[in-house]
Amino acid sequence: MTNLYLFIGAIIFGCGLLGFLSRRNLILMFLSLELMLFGVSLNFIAFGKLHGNLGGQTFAILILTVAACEAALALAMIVSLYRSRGSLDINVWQRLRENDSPSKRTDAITMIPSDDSDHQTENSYGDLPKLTPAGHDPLSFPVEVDSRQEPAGLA
Amino acid sequence: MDNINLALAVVFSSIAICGALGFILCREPVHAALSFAVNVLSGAGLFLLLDAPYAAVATVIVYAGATIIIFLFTLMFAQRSTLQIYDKKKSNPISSALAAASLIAILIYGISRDSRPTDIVSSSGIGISTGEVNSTPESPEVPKVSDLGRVMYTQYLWAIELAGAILLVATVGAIHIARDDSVPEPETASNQP
Repeated sequence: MTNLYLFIGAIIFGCGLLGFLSRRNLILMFLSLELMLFGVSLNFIAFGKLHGNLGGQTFAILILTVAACEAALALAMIVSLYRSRGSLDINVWQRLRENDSPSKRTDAITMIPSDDSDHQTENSYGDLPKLTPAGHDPLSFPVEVDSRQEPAGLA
Repeated sequence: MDNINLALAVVFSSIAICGALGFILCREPVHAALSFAVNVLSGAGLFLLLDAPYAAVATVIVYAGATIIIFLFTLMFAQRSTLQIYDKKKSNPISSALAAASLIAILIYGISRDSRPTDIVSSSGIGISTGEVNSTPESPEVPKVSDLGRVMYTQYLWAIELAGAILLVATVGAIHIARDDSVPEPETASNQP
């Protein structure tokens, strides 16, 4: 009987995982996370009933709190990301990858074009910070800092 | 009584799974959100069957109420009326379906392989000692909400306080993140005495 609840929790968790992996809308990816958390809390309550104590319910309520916090923070982040690109597509943000990691062909459309919207140099959006590539020696891979944007006091 | 519980559990479980599948399969974000709400509501029914009425009510309020409402607000803010390309085309549907299906298969195999007794109150020795709640393990009475409150505010007091602190931090952080820095703040309060 309790196995039924564990099965349901596992299936809900798997559906949330599938949604998170396959969706491209930022809001729906966040809802998939909520679905995974819900499956986990169902598992916790089933285990709490199986063991006959109330720790499972307490843990489920904690998960509920964390899910509410996550909803607030994630939606605030989504609003701010949407403001800067005008699109909810997660693939718009693949420009955050490393310079030498493979690019994915995508049909992502940015509604608000940046300064260099003709894509000649892909990873040089104006509002993204210029960082040293990870995994490389920073001395042998110096970052090409645009001299116009460099603060005067740094040199 | 037991048969009724089992039947209700089966009904709620099937509705929950249908909701989860609808959440995956719907293209419209609003339809997906409504499927999520269906899933969560039937899951709250499962919570009720598991003698967790407080968790059920809190789930209905937080998930099906607050989360869906915030979601719809964000959707109104950001979504255009027509279906976007990122709603129509999924990313890596086949490989992610394989990954999720294998995860579900592994979990179900692991759960069903466990041969320990799964009757809920049959074995009194399994339960971890939890102070007052488990002091009468033989009694079949269901724990009340007041028992849950007593456990939460004695044994798990620090966890509850930590959850409150997380809520406060998340509130401040969300306000800070969502604020638009490009719009200058109106200076009204400085002129008033």
